[in-house]
This record gives sequence, C-alpha cells and structure tokens, in this order.
Amino acid sequence: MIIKIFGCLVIMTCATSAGFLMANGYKKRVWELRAFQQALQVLESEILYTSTPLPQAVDKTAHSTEAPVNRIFFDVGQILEERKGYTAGEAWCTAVDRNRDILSLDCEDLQIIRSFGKNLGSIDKENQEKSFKLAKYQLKAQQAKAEEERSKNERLYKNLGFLLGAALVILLI
Amino acid sequence: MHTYEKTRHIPERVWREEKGGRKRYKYIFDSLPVNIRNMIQRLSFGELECIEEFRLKADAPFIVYGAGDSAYITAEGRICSDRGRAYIVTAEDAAKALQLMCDCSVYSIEDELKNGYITIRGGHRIGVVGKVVTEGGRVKTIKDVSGLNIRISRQVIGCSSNLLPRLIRDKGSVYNTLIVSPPQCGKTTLLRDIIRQLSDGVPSLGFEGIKVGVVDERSELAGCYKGIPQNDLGIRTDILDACPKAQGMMMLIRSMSPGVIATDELGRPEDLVSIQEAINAGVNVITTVHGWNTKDIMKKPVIGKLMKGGVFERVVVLSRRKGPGTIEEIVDSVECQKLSGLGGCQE
Repeated sequence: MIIKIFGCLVIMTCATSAGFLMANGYKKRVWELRAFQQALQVLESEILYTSTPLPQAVDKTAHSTEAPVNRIFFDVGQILEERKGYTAGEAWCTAVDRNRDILSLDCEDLQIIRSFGKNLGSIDKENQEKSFKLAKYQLKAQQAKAEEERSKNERLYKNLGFLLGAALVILLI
Repeated sequence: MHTYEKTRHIPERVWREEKGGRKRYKYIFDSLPVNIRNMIQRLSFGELECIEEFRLKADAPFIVYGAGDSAYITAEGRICSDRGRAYIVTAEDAAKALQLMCDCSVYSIEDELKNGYITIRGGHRIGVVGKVVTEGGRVKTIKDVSGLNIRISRQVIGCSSNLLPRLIRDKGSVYNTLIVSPPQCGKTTLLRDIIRQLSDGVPSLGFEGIKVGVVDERSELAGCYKGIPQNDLGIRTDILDACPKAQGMMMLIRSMSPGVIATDELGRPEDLVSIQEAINAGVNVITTVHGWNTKDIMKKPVIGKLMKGGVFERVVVLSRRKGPGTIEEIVDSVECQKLSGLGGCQE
C-alpha cells in the first residue's frame, strides 16, 4: 500500500512539474524578449552616441544585461577580441547559435535577432540606427505576441500537468 | 624582390630575431580576413620586410609593392611575377578587411573615412576607395569599399643620426628645416626619427632634448590609434593627432610652448601664415614637402614664398637612388639665400 501511495505521489509530482515547466517557457520567452530589447537599447547608445568600438560596446552591454540573454553579447565580445578574422556579423551568428538552447526564444525571434546581427558593425551610423529601430520594432511585436500566448497557455499547461497526473493515477489505481 | 628559399639554413639567433620581427606585423595580420591572412603569414620574414604596400582591390590580383618593384601573391601564399597565378581578391574580401581594420565598428571611423584613409593599431595606414557618399557637396563617408591599400609603417630608429649634426644649431635650438622628397622616399620616416632624437636628446652631440610639438594631420607621424601614439616620438613630444596643420600649429604655440614644431607635407595657403607665426614666436619649424629637388619646390606657391622669404635654413633633399631615404643633398642657409634669389648671407 505504501509503495502504491508513493508511486502515485511520484507520478503526480512529475506531471505537475512538467506542466509548470512548459508554462514557464512562455513566461521566460516574454522576459527574454524584454531583456533583449533593453540590451539593444544599451548597445544602440554605445554605438550611436559614444562611438565605442564594437568589442567594448557588446561587453558593456553584456554587463548591464541579465542572464541568459547576456551570454550572446559576452560571446560576441569574446569572439571579436580573439581577432581570428571573424566579422561582427559572423561572430553574432555564432553566438546566437551557441546559445539558442539556453534561451526560450522561438525560431521567429531568433531569426529577427540573427538578421539584426548581419549588418552589425559593417554600416555607418545612419543605417545602424535604422537597423536598431527595425529590430526593436520587430521584437516589440514578438513580445506582444508572446504575452498573448502566455496568458492563453500558462494556466492551461499548469492545470493540464496536474490533471494528466491525476488521470494517470486514477487509471493505475 | 627577395625570394624565399625554403631549404636555407637559419641559425637559431636569426630565427629568434625574425620571430620577434614578425610581431610587428601582428596588427596587419589581425586586420585581414582569414584567407588573405593565411597567404601573408606564409611569406618569409625577408619577404615581409621588403614589402611596403599590400593592395587589395575587388576582382583584381593581390599585388604587393616594395623596393620600387611590384609582385603578385598567389593563393598558396607565395610571391610570383606571373599575373595568371595571382590570387584574385573578391569584393567580400575587401569589405571584410575594412570591417576587421576598424574592430568591426565601421560606424566609429566615419570621420576618418571622409579623408579616405584610416590608421590601424601599429600606426599602419590604410587607404580606402569605393563609392563616396556626399552631403551638401562634401564627402560624408565611403561605402561599398572596392580597394584598400595597406601601407606598412616602419619606424627606422636612428635613420636620422647622420643628418642631425647638420640640423642642430646649438644646445637648445635647431635650424628651420625643410625635407624635400618625392613620394615613397622615406620623408615621413626620416622626420619621425628626427623628432624622436630631438625630443629625447642626442648625448653624442651634447644636445639635450627640446620640447617638440607635432601636428599630425594625417596620423602618419605618430600613427595614433585612438589618440595613443603607436610610434616612439620621444619623451618631450606633444602630438595633436588628426588636427589641421595651420590650426594645430597655433594651438601648440599657445598651449604647449614647444621649441620646435614638426609637421608633415606642408602646402596649403593657410599653412604659410602659421609657419610665419611660429617663426615670429621664436619656435623652429621642421616640415616636409613633396618635390624632386630645390628648383622644383621654388615653383610651388606656398613653399616657394617661404623659400624666398628665407625661412628655411636647411633643405634636405631625398631620393631612393640607394633605397628609400637616400639623402641627395643638404642645402644650408647660405645656399638657401642664393636659391631664393636674395643673395648674401645673413649668418
């Protein structure tokens, strides 16, 4: 009997936490999108107003941004500092690919971030400003979408996890 | 051009020296895309030392200039004279190189690009051509870069040692000097060493260093990278980097009380006033000008006027007859007076 109760408890905990985990993904995505926009804001002012060279600019951005979004900026800075012959665009792409697994962003978000990085450091201030503007605009739209999805799905997945666990337990008993 | 024999025996000492010497090219290597970097890195040290310019032009062979000669570089990183074997530079190579040269921050060099060149770490200068963007009739920036000319800056320590005894007047001052030379004959290199020695002092001549003000309009003398000189210009040297010559000279006279003012490539009308201002303030001037000989420079409007006014007490003419930096003649004040057609001797 004790084993049965224990088994049921294990199943319930697993299912519920799986539900929470799924729900958390939505929350994290919204949060990361917001953090990314703030990071771009910092980077933009470093580039447009103080003309800081990119390796230092991304490093500063990384320090004023929260994990895990700052990983991308840290990696770009590191790749550029190594001076192995990679341009900023290539460094950016590598950094995004390296960190995509620790981020909760979806393909569409990553695509926006990637295409922003393509021009980074290779164009003049005027075009750089446009590029920032576009990326921020797109990310904002993504954030609105992500928030909508979150409000729709967060509670659903939390409840679903618990209920599935309960259903499984009932079936097994 | 020097050819590289792979089988040659290199003594340990020479090899070490070469390794140290190669470090000087680090910033050039760093500023090139990987494929081109690999080619250049395969060149021998002797070959590298001969090269004065690397030319990257989109859809054209990769050319190097050195010792008055030109040659091609193959994709395998060898120097050859056969155009057919040369590596053909792509537009992407040129664009990438420009990005790497400015630390992937094209936005931070817009002002420099206006002048058509940038200075990288190590003081090397890169000439840039491409599509010029203008605004209100003035050059705003260059985009779609199609050609880059990497000019290797070499500081030749001590190259002015033979010349200095003729330039120093007494313990605390020097003669107003004009260095005349065709392009690529080492006038900037010579001026750089003169500045360094005057600033540090020359113990063998009993010359204590004097304060030297340098107006480095084209960032060539000091090779400043973000305001920090990459070449050794001596301990008493104040440098105004990327500053227009005429204004810079006035600024230095007023602010830094220099004993000598050194500038490169005089020639604009406004320079005339500043030079005279400097002389009036009791500051000596050392400068350079493009030209073939003393006769040639008399025809130039600004320099001709200064020569006629008897401003310069020493004129040094360079050529590359025996390699860059060959001193053809040193004309002193007596002859300067004769040249200017005034006759007589003031000293």
